[in-house]
Amino acid sequence: MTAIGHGRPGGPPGGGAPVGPPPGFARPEFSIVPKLGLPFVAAVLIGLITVIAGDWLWGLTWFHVVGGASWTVIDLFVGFIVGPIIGRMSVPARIEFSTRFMPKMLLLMPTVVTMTLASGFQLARHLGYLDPSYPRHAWIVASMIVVGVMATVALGYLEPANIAVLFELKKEKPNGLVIDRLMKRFIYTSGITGLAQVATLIIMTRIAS
Amino acid sequence: MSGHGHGAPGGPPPFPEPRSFPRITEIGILSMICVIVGVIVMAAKLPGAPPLGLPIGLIVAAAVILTINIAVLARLQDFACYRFWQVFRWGGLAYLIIAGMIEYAFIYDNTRGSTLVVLTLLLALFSANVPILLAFTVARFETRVRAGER
Repeated sequence: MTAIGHGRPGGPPGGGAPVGPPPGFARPEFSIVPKLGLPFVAAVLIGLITVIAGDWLWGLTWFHVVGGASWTVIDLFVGFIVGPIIGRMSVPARIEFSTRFMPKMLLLMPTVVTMTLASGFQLARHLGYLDPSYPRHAWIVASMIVVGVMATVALGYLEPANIAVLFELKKEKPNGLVIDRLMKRFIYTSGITGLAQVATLIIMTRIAS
Repeated sequence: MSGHGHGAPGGPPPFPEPRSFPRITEIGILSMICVIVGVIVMAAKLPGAPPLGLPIGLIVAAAVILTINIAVLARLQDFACYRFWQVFRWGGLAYLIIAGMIEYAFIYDNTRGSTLVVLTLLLALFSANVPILLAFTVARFETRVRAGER
C-alpha cells in the first residue's frame, strides 16, 4: 500500500510530523472548484444525455470505455504511484502539489464516474446483459457489487477528504496536521479503489471475452 | 492515525489536535451501504419486475439511520454550522443533478410503478446522505465557529 511519510525526508523516524507550512511559505492562490473546468463537465454530461436519449450504441460504448479506462488508470496511478511520491515530499511541496492537484480531481472524478456508470448501465440494457437469462449475468451483478464497494469508499471517505483538504488549504494558516491526515485518507482510499479497479478489469475482460 | 501535534523545537507553535466528534461519517456510510445494496438488488433484476421486499426493508433501515445521524448532528456543540450548510448546499445541488440523471435513465428505460417509487426513494436517500458526509468532513476541521452558533 501507499506509505505516507511523516515529516520531512531525513527527519526523525515516526516523529517530527508536519504541523504546518514553514514561516514565509506563500501558499499558491487557487479556487476550490476550478471554474474553467465546468464547461467541460457540462459538455460531457450533455453528450452523455444525448447518447442515452438516442440509444446510440457507439456513443454509449465510447463513453463507457473512455470513462472506465480513465477511472481505472487514475485510481491506480494516484493510489500506487502519486501517493507514495506525495508522502515523501516536503511540507511546502506537498501543499503546493495539493493546491494544484486536488481542485482538478474534484471535477474530474465525479465526471468520469458518472459517464462510466450511466453509459455502462445503458449499454448493458441495450445489449441484454441485464437480463437474468444472459449467461454471464452473474459477472454483471459482480461488477455492480464492486462498483458499490468503490462508491461507498469514494463517497464516504475519498471525496469528503478531497474537499476538506481544499478548505483547509484555503485557510490563512492551514493546519499541516489536518492536511496530512486528510491526504493520507485520500491516498489510502485511492489505493483501495485502485485494488477494486483490478477486480473490475477482471470482470470486464471476462464479460467481453 | 498517529498522535501528532508537536512542532520542531523553536519552530512555529504546534496546531491543536483536531477535536473528536461522534461517528457521523461511519453512521452515514452505514446508511449509504443500505441504499447501495438496495440499488444493486433492484438493478440486478431490471428491466423485469424485481422483488421489492428487501429493497423496502433497506429503505426503512437507511432512513432510520439517516434520521439518527441528523439527530446526532443537530446536538453537536461548537460546530461550524455555517461551513456545514455552505458545503451541504453545493454538494446537495451536485448530487441532486447526479440523482436526477440516474432517475432520468430509469424512466427512459420504462421503469414504472412501485419499482420506480422504490428506486426514487433509494436515490433520495443517496442524495441526502452524500452531502451530509461531505459537509460534515469539511465542517469538523473548521476552527472558526461563529458567535451564537451551536
